[in-house]
Amino acid sequence: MKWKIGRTTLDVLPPVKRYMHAIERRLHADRQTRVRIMTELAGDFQSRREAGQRDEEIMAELGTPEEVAAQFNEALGGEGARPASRWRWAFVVLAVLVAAAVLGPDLVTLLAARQAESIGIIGGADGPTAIYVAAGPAAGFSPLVFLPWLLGCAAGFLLPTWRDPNACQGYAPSLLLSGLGLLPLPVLALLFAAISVADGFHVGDWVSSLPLLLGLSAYCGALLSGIVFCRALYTRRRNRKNAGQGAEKK
Amino acid sequence: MPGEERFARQLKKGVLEMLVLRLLAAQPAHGYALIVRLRAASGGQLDLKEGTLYPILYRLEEEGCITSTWDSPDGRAGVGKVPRRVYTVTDAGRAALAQQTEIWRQFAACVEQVLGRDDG
Repeated sequence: MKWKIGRTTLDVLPPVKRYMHAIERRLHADRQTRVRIMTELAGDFQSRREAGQRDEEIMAELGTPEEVAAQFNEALGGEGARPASRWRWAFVVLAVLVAAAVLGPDLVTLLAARQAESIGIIGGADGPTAIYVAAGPAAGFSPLVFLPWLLGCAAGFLLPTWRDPNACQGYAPSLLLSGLGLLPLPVLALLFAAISVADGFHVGDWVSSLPLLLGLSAYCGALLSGIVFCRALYTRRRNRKNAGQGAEKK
Repeated sequence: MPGEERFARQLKKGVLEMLVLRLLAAQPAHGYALIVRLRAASGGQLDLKEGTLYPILYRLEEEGCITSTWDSPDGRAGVGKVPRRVYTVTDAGRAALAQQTEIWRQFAACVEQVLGRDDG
C-alpha cells in the first residue's frame, strides 16, 4: 500500500498507514510543519525497520497516535498548536448570502422557464417575449457579478493570519485571488462615474434599475477583494518587518 | 511517584538542547540516530521520544545553531525509501554549546555545594 507524504511515496502496510494518518490528523500545526514532521517520522520508521524492529514494536515504542501528536503539540507550543480562528467562516457565510441574493433570482427564473417549456406557452408569452420574461434584463450576467465576491471571500478565508497573526508566509493564495477579484474595480468605478455624469442616479422601476444594482454589487465585491488584498499586503509586510527586528534582537 | 517524575522531566527539559547540540557537535546525525546515541550515552536514562526531539531540532535550526540537509541530493526518494534530514551543528551552535556547558558546570557546582552543606 502506498502512502504519500509531501513529495515522497512510501510503501507501508495498512496498519502503519492508519497509524501515521491518525498522528497527522491530530497535529495542530501548519501544513509545512505537518509534512516535515510526518516525513521525519517516516524516516524514523525506516531506520527502526533497518535496525530489525517489526512495525508493531515500532508503533508500541512510539506510543499511541494521541500520545505522539500530543508530544509534538505540547513541544511546538504556541508556534504550531494554534487552531485557525472560526471568524474566517464569516467569509464563507458572506459568499453564500451573496450567492443567494445574486444568483438566486436567475436560478428561479431559469427553473420557471424550464417548467414553462415543459408545459408549453404561458399566458400568451411566446417567442422572444417568453425568452425575455424567463431570463430578465440580467440574463447570464449574475455569475459575473458574483465572481468578485467569490474571489474576495475565498481570499479572506485563506488569509494565513487566521491561524497565526504573526505569519510571514502563506499570503500568495490570498493575494492572487483578491488581486483577480480587484481587476474589475477601476472599470466599474469608471462606468458608474460615467452613468452618474450622464443621467444621475435616478432609480426608476425595479426591472430597469436591476442592471445598475447588479453592477453596484459587482463593484462592492471588487471593493471587498481590494480590502482583502491591501490587508494581506500590509500584514505580510508588518509581520516580516517584526520578524526581522526580532531576529536582530536575538 | 508523580512528583519525582515531574522533577526529572523538568530537569531533562532544561538540558536537552545542550545535550542534542553536544551529540551533533561530535557527529552530524538524523533524528533516530540522535535518539539511539543519547540513549546509549546516558546508559538508558535519557530515552527521548520523537515528539520531544524534533521540536528541539526545529527550534535550534530556527536559532541558527544547527542546519539540516536531506540525505538524498534532491530531497526525493523512490517508493519504499524515505529521505532523512541530517542535522549538523553550525559555528553559532558550537559557541552556544560552549556557553551552555559553562553555565551548566557552574550551576551543577552551585547545586552540589548547597546540597552538601551540613546545616541541611
